[in-house]
Amino acid sequence: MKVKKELKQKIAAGMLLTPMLLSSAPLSIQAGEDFSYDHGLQVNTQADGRVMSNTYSSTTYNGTQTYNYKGDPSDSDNDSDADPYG
Amino acid sequence: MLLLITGASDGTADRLVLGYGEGVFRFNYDLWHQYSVLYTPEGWSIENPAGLKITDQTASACFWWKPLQYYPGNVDRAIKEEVKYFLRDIYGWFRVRGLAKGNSPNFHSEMGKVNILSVAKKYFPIPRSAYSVGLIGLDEFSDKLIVKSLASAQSDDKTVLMTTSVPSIEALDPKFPWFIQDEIESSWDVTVFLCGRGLFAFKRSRADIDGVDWRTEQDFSQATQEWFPFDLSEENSKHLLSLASELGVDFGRFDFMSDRKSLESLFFLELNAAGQWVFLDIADRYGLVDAVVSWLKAEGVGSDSSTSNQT
Repeated sequence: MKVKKELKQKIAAGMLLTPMLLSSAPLSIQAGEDFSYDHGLQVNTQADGRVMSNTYSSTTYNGTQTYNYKGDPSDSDNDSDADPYG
Repeated sequence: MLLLITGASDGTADRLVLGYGEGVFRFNYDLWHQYSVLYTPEGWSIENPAGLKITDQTASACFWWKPLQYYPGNVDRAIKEEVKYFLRDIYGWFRVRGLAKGNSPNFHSEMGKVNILSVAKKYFPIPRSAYSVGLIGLDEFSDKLIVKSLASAQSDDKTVLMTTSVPSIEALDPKFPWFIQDEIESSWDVTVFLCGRGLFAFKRSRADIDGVDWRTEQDFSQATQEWFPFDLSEENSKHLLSLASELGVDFGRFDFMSDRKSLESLFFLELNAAGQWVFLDIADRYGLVDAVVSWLKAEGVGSDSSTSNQT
């Protein structure tokens, strides 16, 4: 991995490690299908009316990351309840 | 009626609504402008565009599920803060009446990782741990170390500090804040989901993990089951419920690592008071959604989940 290689080079050069140097981009997934929120059902549905949750494709219960409305991760750890949008 | 405060694209909330059936009102923070709201000291009502309505007269419980993780639209920060204030305020309305379920959104602002470790060590072994600026007083640490984030916040360039092995304390820049732990040599990551008095223990093999943080090695395809249920020993169950009681929680995910020899020998790592849990039971095999729905429907705070120890 490029990051690990760069890190090794910096360690070899005697640079002290910082939290930012050890950080990396969080893993991400993209929502596979378009969906929209249905206020009547109070769940997400796909274009054909299927309930989103039944397809196992929605975005926020996988592992410990949270994803924003575009399917991009919004934090490193979705067990945090912090507001990433300030 | 349950007030579920969450975000519109939250899959966990979808499952809870479907499992709950009638009697739940979902307020999505990111769609805040679509709801009609009246909140007064005498009473309140919230109505969604489909005509579903919850009021102070019909509300019986409230569950806060990660609403602030969702993008509330391109509006002025001051406006967002007004909406967030309202949500916290109405959550407090439930709290003072003993109707709030789960943990306060402010839980980890008051109960952080080191503080929780200081309580947990009464019940479980913990890795030697220290938060330090200046790297002082760390002489007793082993030569196998990890660093991790306390706050799990993103850096300015959108990166995060996962749990990471470091070669030595001397390799760290002492000008920065560091949360350091002795690395545990482990065969299994273990996580236990607490819901009411129900404990759901799952294990994940570390055999195929390159680093130390399983979050960097997740299979997002959901094609392969990574976490498997197992029976927590009676002693560990008892200790965990005692720990939860002392921390004042009846919901959350407790993370452990086993030692190399036995799944019964667990090192406590951390409590995720608002921890995700559906990924443990993505195919609804182990009853986690049903357990949470039963717990949400039960009257009173701290009510037992109808489902206790798993498998």
